[in-house]
Amino acid sequence: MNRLARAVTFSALGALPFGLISALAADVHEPRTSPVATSYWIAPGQVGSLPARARYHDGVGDVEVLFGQGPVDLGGNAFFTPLGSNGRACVTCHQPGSGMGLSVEAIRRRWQETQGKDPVFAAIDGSNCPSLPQEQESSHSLLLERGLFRVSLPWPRTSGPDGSPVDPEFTIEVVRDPTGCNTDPHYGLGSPDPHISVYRRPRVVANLKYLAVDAGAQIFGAAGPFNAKRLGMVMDRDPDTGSYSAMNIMSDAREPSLKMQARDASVDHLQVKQPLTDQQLQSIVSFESQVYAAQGSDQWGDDFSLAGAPPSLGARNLQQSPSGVLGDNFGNPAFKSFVSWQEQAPSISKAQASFRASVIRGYDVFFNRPFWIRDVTHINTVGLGNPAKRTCVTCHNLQMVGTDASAGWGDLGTTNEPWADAALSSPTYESQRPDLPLFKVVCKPEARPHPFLGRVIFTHDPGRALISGKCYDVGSIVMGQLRALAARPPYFASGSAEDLRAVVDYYDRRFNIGLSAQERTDLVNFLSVL
Amino acid sequence: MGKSSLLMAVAVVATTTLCAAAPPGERRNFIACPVLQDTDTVPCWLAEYRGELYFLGIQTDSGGWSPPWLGHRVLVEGRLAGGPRICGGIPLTSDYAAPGGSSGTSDGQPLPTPPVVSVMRELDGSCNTLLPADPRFHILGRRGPGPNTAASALRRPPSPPAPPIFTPPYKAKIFTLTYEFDSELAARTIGEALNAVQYAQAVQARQITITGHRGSTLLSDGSRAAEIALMAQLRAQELARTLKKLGLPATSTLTVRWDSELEPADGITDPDRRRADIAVTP
Repeated sequence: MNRLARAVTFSALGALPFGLISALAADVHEPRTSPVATSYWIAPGQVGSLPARARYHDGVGDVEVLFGQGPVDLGGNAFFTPLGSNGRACVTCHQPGSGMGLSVEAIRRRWQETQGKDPVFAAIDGSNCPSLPQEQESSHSLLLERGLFRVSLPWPRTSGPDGSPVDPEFTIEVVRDPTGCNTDPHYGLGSPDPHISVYRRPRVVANLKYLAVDAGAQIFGAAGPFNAKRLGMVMDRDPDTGSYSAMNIMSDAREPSLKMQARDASVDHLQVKQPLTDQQLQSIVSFESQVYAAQGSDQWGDDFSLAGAPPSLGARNLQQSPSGVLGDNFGNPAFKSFVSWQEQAPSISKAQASFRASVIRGYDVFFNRPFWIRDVTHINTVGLGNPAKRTCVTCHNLQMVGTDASAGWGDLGTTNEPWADAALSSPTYESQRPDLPLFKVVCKPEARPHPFLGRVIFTHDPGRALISGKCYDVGSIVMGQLRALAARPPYFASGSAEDLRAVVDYYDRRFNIGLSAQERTDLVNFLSVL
Repeated sequence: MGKSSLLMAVAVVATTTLCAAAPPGERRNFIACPVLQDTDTVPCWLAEYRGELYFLGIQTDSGGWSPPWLGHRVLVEGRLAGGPRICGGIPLTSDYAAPGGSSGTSDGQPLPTPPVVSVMRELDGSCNTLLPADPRFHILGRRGPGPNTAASALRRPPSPPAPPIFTPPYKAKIFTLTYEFDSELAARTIGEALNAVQYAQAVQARQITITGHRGSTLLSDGSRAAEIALMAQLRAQELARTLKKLGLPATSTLTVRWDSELEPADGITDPDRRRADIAVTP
C-alpha cells in the first residue's frame, strides 16, 4: 500500500474473489426497512401508488428508490401519465425498478411480455429507425441488446439552446449505417429535414439535486459564469431563472434545466401533439427533484439504511447530504468513509466480511491508485497536462454521485476510434458485425482540431460536438452518475459495457492501468454498492 | 498526420522566418517536443533545445500553469531561472506568474514560476517521450498524484464577487485578454470579458468594439514563429460570442474586427501581444 493509501487508513482484509452477477430487474420484494409495492415495470397511466421507499431486486441485492415528498399517487402525477401520442410517459424509460434508469434486462422482459407492443418500443426512438418494420424484433436490436434509444438531432446545427448561432466546424460523412437511419430518405442526413441518428442510454432521473444545480452558486464560485475547464466558455443559462447551469443533465448537455429537458423529451420521446403546459412541466420537475436512488442492500445481508452502514450508501444518505461538494480530497472524500465496515462485527458471516473488505479495497483503488490518464479531451486539456498521473476520483469528483463537478463532458473514447468497440482498426472488425453507425468527421482547416485525434475522426456518436459544433468536442459525453449502478446495465452512453466488470476492463485497457484480477473484482464490488 | 494537418503544420513552419535580431542571451524561446519525466510523486515536464534539457514545471491541478501535452509540440517562452537542475533539466522561469504561487519544491527548494508554455494546435506523434520514475528526483507538489491534501480543498469555492459599482463621469475603457499561442480560447484571462460586460452594463455603453490581434514570438535562434493567419479573426469572433452570451446592454452596438497583421516580436513581451481588446465607450 502506498503512502497515499495509508493516509486514509483503509485496511486490507482477507480477499474473497467475487464477481458481480449480471443484474436482473425482478419483482420487488418486501425489504426489512422499506415498505413496498409494485413490480419491475410501471406502465404509463397505471393506477395505484408507490411507497415513499421501495426496493427492487437487482441481482446483487436491492436497489432502493426514495421519494422525498412521500408516497406517490401514480394517477395524479405527470411523470407517470401518458402525455403524448405514443402511449409513453417519463416513467417508461426511467423505471424505479431500474434505479430510475432502464436496464436492458427490463427491456427484454417487457418485449417478451408484450410481444413488442409496449410503448417503450415506439418506432420514433425505440426502434433502430422508424422506417423499419416495427413488428420485427431485429428492428429494435439496439434497444434489446444494448438498451439504446435513437436520438435524432438536426444537422448541421444552426443554433444553440439559447438561440445563439452555431456554425459547425466540421462535416459529417456516414461511413457505416447498419440501422439505415442515417441514410434514410426521410430520417437521414440527406433528407429534406436532415437529422443525424445516434444511439444512447437513458440517464438516471434521481439524485438530481447534485446535477441540476446553479453552477455559479454551487460549483464554480469565483469562476462565475465560465466553464471551469478553461475553455473561456460561458455556461448556458436556465431561461426561467437566469442562473448558469452546470450543464450536467443530458449526455450532450443540450438542455440546461430539468424543465427544458422535460419539454425536449416530451416532443422527442413522448411525441406530444401540443406543448406541455407549464403546470405539467412543473409537476414533472417537482417530482424528479425529490427522487433518490441507490443500492439499498447487498446479497450478503448488509442493509445500507441501517445504523452502522457507510454514510454514502443508500438513498436516504443521498437525500440528506449536501450537494456541490468536491470529493477529490482526503478531508471529505467522494464517497465519504467506509470505516464503519472495517470494524467487523462478530455476528456477520465470513462471506459478508470478505465482501465488505473487497468493497473497501475497491474504494481504495478508486480513490488512491494513480495511473496515467491520457488523451481525454476536457480532462487532460484543462491544465492537468497530458498524460496526468492521477486517480479515478480526479474526474469522478462530485461527492455522493461521482460525476465531474465542472461541466463534465469529456472524450473518454467510448464513442470514438480507436477506443470504441468495433473499431475500424480492430483486426476482428468484420467478424464483430458492428451494429452502431460510424461517422467520419472532418474538421475545417480553421478549426481547432480534436486535441488527440486531429482533424479526421471516426466516431459512433460525436456527442457534445453535435450541439456545440466544435471539433474539439467530438466524442465528448457528459459523465453519468455512479449511483444505483447494479440496477441498470449496460453502461456508458453507448451501452458498450454490458456489466460493471466490462466498465472496469475498459478503463484498464484504455489507460493501461494494469489492474490485478483482485483489484478488478474489488472495483466491481465497490461500484455495485453505490 | 492527415493532409489538412500537414498543411497547417507547413503553414506554421512557413511563417517561422529568420530575423536579424535574437532575444537576450538568458532567454529561451523555442518550439520542441515536451518530455515527461516521472518521479516517485508527481511528474516533471521537460523540453530539449539544442541538445540541452530544460525544466518547465511539474504536474499541478487545473488551476495552475498549462502543462504540455504529449502528442503536441510546445512553444516555450522563458528565461534561465538560475539554481540547480530540477528533474535533470535547467530550470526556466518567466515574469508571467501562474496563480497560486509555487507549485511545489525540488530537494526542498521552491520551484520557480514556470515559463510561458503554449501547446501547438496540431498533433505531432513524435512527441511521445515518457521517462520512468527516477529516484534521484525529489519533487513535492502542492498537490500529489492522488486526492487533494491541501486545506483549501475542503473550503467551498468563494462566491463570485459582486459586480463593481461605477460612478460618473464614465470614461471609455479598454479591456484586454491575452492568449496562449495559436489559441482563441481565453483560458486565463476570460474574466476580463466579464469585467467589460459589467462595465458596459453599468455605463449603458453606446459602443463596444472587439479587436482581435495576431501575435508572433521571437525565438532564440533568431527566427520568428507566427500565429496562424486566421487567429486574429478567430479571437475576435469567439470573444463576440462570449460577450453576447454574457449579455450586452440594449443601448450598445457591437463591432467586431480583427487586425491580421503580425504584431512585432521582441522575444520578451510577446505573450502580451497575443490578445484581443474590448473597447467600451459610454
